[in-house]
Amino acid sequence: MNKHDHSHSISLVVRLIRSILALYPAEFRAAYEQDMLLTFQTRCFELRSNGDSTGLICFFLTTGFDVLGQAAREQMESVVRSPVRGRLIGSLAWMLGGLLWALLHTPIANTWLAIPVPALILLIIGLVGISTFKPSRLTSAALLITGLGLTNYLLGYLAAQMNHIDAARVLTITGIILEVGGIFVLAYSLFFKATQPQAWQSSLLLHSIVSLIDAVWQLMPLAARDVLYSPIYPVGVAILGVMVGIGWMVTGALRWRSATRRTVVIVG
Amino acid sequence: MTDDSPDQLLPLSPIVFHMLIALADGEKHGYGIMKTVEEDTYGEMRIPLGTLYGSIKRMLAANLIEETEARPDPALDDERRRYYRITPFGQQVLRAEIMRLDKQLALVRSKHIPGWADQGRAL
Repeated sequence: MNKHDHSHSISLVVRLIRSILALYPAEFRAAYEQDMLLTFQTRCFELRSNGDSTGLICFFLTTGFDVLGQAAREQMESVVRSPVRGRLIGSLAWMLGGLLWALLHTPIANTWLAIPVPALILLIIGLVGISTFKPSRLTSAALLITGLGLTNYLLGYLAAQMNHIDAARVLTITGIILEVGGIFVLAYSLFFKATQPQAWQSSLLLHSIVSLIDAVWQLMPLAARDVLYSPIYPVGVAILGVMVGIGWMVTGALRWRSATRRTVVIVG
Repeated sequence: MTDDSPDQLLPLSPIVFHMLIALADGEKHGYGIMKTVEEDTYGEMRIPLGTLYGSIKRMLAANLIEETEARPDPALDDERRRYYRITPFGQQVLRAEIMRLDKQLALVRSKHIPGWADQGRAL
């Protein structure tokens, strides 16, 4: 390997390590990232000057695995130090537990009431935990929950396409529950805690659009074949999407009125 | 972590012990610490990058080391580097650890451990 190749490989491994360092908490990165990269780079150049290509690869692999482990440790310490972050992760863990429980134990039936009570309790505890956040975090949490629900929809759709109708049904049921949970958190943020109308209005719009796309997406297999699974699910999602869309328009109108009134007051 | 009693931090982990030894003869940056520990232990201990800076962070929090503004010739140095030096409390902890290890060594020397005669004499 010539000098140019070595420089190229060093810049590549430095970039890779930099990307792994992104896993550290922000405060740790702010304090040590530059120094860590410099130390890593210096060591790489030293190994290169010794012509030790194997050593360079070993050093990179050792550093990569070590940094991964240490980043996880720092994140854990950061969670312990930060009650808010701990509450977020705890709440999401409750919800994930509820989701897994529902996925594993929901009987194959055409009713939303088939979700086991323990799974619902886990999901509700998670939602209540999340609803205690500050408004700025609530919107993100709502989108995260919705994202989880939408992933379930996607998986449900794929399962339906592969003729795993039972799995599709369970995934769709849990997807709807999560999306309703996401809307609940968003509504909570909107009506009780909202201080950032721009943030929640864009969230509502996104939520509405994605819900409607979901509904259409789920109706496609129904239209293409015989009824794969009960049309109540995509219709339910479509209704949700329309309702959230109306919510978006109403809040937009309220914002516009509020802004107009403020302008009048300022001008007057 | 309190800095009232050095004994509260004992025993030190091998990495922290060698890092304090490395800093005992003057301030160093992260790479300098890594290199000195490797040389001091004849290559037996190589501190990986994440472990090194995680330890530095915890040692700063425990007041064993502190960051220093003093730098060598700026022309020879990169300003992004951070330099560390051992604190007076860190020196106390290091002395306490050395005394603890010394007592253990004395104990080992006083025993006749089978198969360890030659190594025992070397100690």
